[in-house]
Amino acid sequence: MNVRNPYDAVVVGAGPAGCAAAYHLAVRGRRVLLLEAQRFPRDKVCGDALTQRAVRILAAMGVLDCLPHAERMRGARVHMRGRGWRDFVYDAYPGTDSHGLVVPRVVLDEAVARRAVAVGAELWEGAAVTAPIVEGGRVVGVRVFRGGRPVDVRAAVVVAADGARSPLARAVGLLPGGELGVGVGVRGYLTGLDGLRDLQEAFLPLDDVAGRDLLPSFGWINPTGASEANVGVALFRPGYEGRAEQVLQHFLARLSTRGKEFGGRLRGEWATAPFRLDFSPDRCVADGILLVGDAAGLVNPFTGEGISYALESGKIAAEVIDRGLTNDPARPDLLDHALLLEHSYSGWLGAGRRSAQRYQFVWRVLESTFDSERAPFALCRRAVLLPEGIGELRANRTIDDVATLMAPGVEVRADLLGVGELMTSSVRDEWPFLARVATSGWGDPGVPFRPALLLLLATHFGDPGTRCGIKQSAAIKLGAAIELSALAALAQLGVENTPTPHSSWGNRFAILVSDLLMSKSLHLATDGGPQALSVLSQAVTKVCTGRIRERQHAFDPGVTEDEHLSLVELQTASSFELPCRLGAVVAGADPEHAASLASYGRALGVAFRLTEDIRMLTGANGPGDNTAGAVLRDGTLAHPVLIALRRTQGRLTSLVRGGCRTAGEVDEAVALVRESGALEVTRALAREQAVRAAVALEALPEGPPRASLFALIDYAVTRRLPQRPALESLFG
Amino acid sequence: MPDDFAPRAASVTDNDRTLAGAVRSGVRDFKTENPVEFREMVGEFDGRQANVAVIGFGRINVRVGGGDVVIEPGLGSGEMMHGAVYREAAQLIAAGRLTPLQAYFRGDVIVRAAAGDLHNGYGFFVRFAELAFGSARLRTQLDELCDEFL
Repeated sequence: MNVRNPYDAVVVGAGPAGCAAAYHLAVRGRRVLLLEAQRFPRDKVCGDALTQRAVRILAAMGVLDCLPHAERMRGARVHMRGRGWRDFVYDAYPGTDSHGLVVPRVVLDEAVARRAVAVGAELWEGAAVTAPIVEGGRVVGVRVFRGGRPVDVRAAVVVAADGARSPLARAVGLLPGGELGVGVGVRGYLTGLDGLRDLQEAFLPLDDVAGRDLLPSFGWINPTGASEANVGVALFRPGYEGRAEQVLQHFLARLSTRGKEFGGRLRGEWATAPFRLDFSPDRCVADGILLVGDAAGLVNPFTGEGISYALESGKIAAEVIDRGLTNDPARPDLLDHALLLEHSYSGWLGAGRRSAQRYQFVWRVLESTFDSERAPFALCRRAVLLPEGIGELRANRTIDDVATLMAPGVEVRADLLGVGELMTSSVRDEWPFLARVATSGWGDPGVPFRPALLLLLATHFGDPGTRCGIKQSAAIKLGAAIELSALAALAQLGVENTPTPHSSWGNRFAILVSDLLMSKSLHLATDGGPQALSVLSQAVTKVCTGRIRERQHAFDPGVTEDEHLSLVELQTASSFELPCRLGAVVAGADPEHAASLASYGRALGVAFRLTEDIRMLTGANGPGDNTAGAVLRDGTLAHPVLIALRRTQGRLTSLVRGGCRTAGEVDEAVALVRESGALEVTRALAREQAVRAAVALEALPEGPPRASLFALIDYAVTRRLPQRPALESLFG
Repeated sequence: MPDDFAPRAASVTDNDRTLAGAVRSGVRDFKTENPVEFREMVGEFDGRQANVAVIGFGRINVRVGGGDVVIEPGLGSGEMMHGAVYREAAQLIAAGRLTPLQAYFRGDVIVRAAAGDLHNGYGFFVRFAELAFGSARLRTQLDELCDEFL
């Protein structure tokens, strides 16, 4: 402690961010003063919802034990205007903290503040900060109005946790002038409600009174008790503040149409508060002062959630301050705060302001694709709507992690991290949330199937100089190109024919996303040279040709098995042949090996697709998987269906021609296929293709890479993976 | 905003200067011990610059140009790559108790960059970090740095 400063840090504002900062400083033995303008218990305008992430942080701080009973939320129900609702539940990934909570701020803030005090922080209530004290270009304390008189409090560091308005940040020039914030929320507590669920409910998007304009906004119901809920609306864009009341009334009127369960009475008053969405790490620190929580603009630009970020940023600030004080108690270096906040939040919250400007489009897309089960739409929903808690969970079946199939001595994981990072950075600039879509499931160093093939070949076959940087770099770029082109193909699957009022948004979105991803893919492939670009474009041409021909034959039970297999060759085998051929190009493999690898890839792709057809019809992807229904309704004919058509005729033909319009018809068609014995025929064909792939490998030199390629064949047929080792053991 | 208030980002600390001196020396050693890799690296990053931090210690601005690397204390302005490593992690790596990749997976090494640059930086980091930390001269230098400031 500096002799001149009675405190190491003074924290202005005893909300979650300020209290977290004070707590983490106090547990490190720092002298910290926490200032609160009001007296506890005091309320704040907020939705009161604590995501699973926030619950985890509070548990680690020991705050959960101090809280009275709070409503546990098992997830969120998201309602989309005119498109029904969807539940996103936490317990899909069980754990002791697989739940959210709804804790009114009047309770939460006091509990966190008391916890900070319990570990050594000093708390002044009724202490309003009126100005920073600045000396020699540095913030050295704050002027406080307490007990009817001004008091100067000096500290080595000031933490501004004084909310979206943050007078402190404004006073030292860390907030842009003029506009107060870029969003506004209104909430109240309604009592006497029936039919509340153990879910947070969000309603997207809201519209103006005339129902013409969709607003960048949402409404919520967060149950705080058996018959009481925090109900409110949030509008995200500047200039909408004056419309909040109007939107709220319209939202309540909309809720009343749900029936008698929403006939509650208002307890207290409706309350309004601004919130910032303009997070920018560069303006979160200056000499002697740090910004945290709402003051730093740490609010999720898609859901309005801010408590988890507040708690996290408070902890980050405390760590930075503690390190800074250790090095220089008189003038701690705080600049790492900006760097660490940027690391934690840029690319998501950092894009908040830009995203807010695009809300109209994003939300129209979400609305029109809300009831679609297509993979790109499902990924977007999770990425955009629920990045907190549920959204961070890994549930992506579109990318296989084949790490455990790599033979000992074969290491492609590090390069695949490069592939993932490159994919992210490729799309981050144009459309921030796409980065999350593209990288869903890449949270840890997994090994996706197709890039793994390429890297295996590029780095372990061909000339011994392959490991030199240029070739490795090209392989990583081509790996990213392959995966982006695969995602582009997935996005194409999102184009639907269903006529809905906003279907053009869904189709347009899917087509645009596909085009964007494909253009990025081709751009990356240029680095592999003309030959690589040619290989990639040929593969894309084949895949698209296959798709077109598949559309031409949709709902046609007269397609022959040979015709169908040629479609599979074009569509799926091409996409597996692609990484093999590119790998051979990068490795500089001789023509014989290159031809063998191409054959291997084709056979592997056919085996994979046939197995996928079987899995689709047997529900192997787990409960809730309705791929079979989607495919049958789309008129796409899987191999077992074709075999069954030859064997059964009659009813199945009629169902296929009609596109299985109901769930009952889907079940009936699937049952007919299974009873016909067609699955066994397809299974045998898949095994036959696997043998072909294995034969193609005989031409390659023996060793761990070839063993890995054999393991991939086995996986393509069985879809079984050995248990994955712990991360640490991978580096032993 | 008070007239005498200056953003902290514009300032350079003593630690920044010390770090810059140490890194200059480290780069010189790397260049001497691995001339081929050094040429490849400066060729790849010619004309680029980055802010690099040792968290809890200091920051430097690194510019590559004219076949060499220029290191200045403090942060450079404008959008550029950012890299950071926790001081403890750097020490563990230097002591051979943590690999750079392990540090990366643990979040103890942070890299942020604009589109495209991230990949290049990451690739070189993975390839050269082990090489650099394998250098006896660099390890000695890190030990001296730790002795002085811990």
